[in-house]
Amino acid sequence: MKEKLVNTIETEKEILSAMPLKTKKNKSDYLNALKKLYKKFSLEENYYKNEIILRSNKIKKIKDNKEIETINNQIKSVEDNFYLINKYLTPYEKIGLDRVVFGLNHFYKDNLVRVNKLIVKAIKLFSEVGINLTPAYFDYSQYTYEYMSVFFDEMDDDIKSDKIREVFNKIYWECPLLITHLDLNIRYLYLENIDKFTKYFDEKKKEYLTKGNKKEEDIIANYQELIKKRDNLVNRDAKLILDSFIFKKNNINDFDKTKINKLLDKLIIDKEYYDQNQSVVNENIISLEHTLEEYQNYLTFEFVINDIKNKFNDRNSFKNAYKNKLKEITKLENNLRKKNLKIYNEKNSKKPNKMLIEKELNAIEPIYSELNDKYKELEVFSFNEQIVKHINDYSTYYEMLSLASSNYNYLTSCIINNDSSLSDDEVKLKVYKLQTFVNSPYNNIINNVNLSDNKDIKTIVIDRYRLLDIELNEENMDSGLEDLQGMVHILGIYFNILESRITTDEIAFVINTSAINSNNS
Amino acid sequence: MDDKIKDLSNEELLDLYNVSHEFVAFLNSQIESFGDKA
Repeated sequence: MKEKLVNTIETEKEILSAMPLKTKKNKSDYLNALKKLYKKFSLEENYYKNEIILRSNKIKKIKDNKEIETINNQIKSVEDNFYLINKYLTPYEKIGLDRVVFGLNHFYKDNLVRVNKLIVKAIKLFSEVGINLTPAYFDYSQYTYEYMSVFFDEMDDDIKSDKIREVFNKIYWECPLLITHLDLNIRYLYLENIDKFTKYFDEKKKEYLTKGNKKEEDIIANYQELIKKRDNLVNRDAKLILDSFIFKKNNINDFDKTKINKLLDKLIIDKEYYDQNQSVVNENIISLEHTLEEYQNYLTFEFVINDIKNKFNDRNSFKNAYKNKLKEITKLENNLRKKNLKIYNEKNSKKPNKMLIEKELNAIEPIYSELNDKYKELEVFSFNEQIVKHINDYSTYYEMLSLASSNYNYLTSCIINNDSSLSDDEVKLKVYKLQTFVNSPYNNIINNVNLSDNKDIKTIVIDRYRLLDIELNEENMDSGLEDLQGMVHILGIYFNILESRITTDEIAFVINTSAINSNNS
Repeated sequence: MDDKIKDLSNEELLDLYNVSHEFVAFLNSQIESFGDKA
């Protein structure tokens, strides 16, 4: 049909070119001929255009798969309770006080409102376990008490209130370390009430397991199955596939059959075997995409594994360190309490000796700095205790990374020590990436390599996939890893399209006619 | 003709549209340029 149309047009063009254009009448006749042809071929153009729009809209008229939303809700419900069964989390992390303390230590310089929001959060977290804080709990220093007395009066109405700002400004000039005092006070309150926190989470966990009548390992297995099922549905969902091209996440030109064959030529070792076992090898290529992602994540977070290994090897050096540090803190806090009482009594005496009060205040300030250092050391020792408790010679990389990803304070320090140029947001992103990596149901490497192994992971991956007819080698797993991942990613999408209810031809049609379709609307 | 168009593949349909669209655009430009002269 195309040939016929091209010929017709050529003939019309020849007729037009043969028409004389000398006189005014000639030109008028020529114009009339043009108009006649314009009318005829506009009709023809519209005829094709309408059919294009009809077909394109028919392809695009794919309904959302409701099952995806249902599974996503199920996944979220498990994730919301995941922390309850995470054995690597202490109650301090479970309730989220680690994040509050981290925030107080990081935002104190630039944002009072942010600091106040964190204090409100801490108050709510204590209240969740049944401890209703009042100003009396904030007696770590006379400044914490003074600030929190105003804070509790104002917090329900407005944490940005003038009164809060005024009292903060007033105290700040006397005690620039007010936020450190508040931070220490919160840490102290947690340790004072640690049993209540532990009991609260033990009961919560029990209730969660009883309610679902499940075991912890079943919950994890079920969660991973849900993720796989969801990914499968998403990857093969016609609407989501089409959207990924419409919104330019994927480019249809990459999925041209010739290009796909070229990628397969690069990746397949034995073409004859491939031709006979296409669907099996295609599945293996999809699984290779997961393996390469896991391998790259392993390389990204190898420094965390090495750090935990080093700490584990050093475990004898921090035996009892947590206990001893806690004793030092308690001793210092008792001393502090006595000195604060002395200041309080002097202030409330009939004739307060201002010189003496000033002298005592100056004398106790270094104790706060010392306590601040000791609490930070305690946090490190607390993580070391976790290593002693959970890690042994046969712990897998998965277990080591799970432990690391459960301790926000440790993990952020470890990430920053590894690369100090990262911004706060980049650090947060890495924390999130590790958590996602650990929870992935597609991990095989980190679940099977342990602390005492000296396995060459790269070689294991190469050997495994060569056995499956896939060309992996030192080069493409090393400097060519990114290219290899890109290649496998395209093939993975292509195989998923083959399993879906849309074809590359239909996708190409919608994309290539989008301008025609949008001109119409 | 309606039956015939349904039998066309997506690629063929798009080709026909492009050929006719190009010719219509040509005719339009000619009409614009000769409209003044005529």
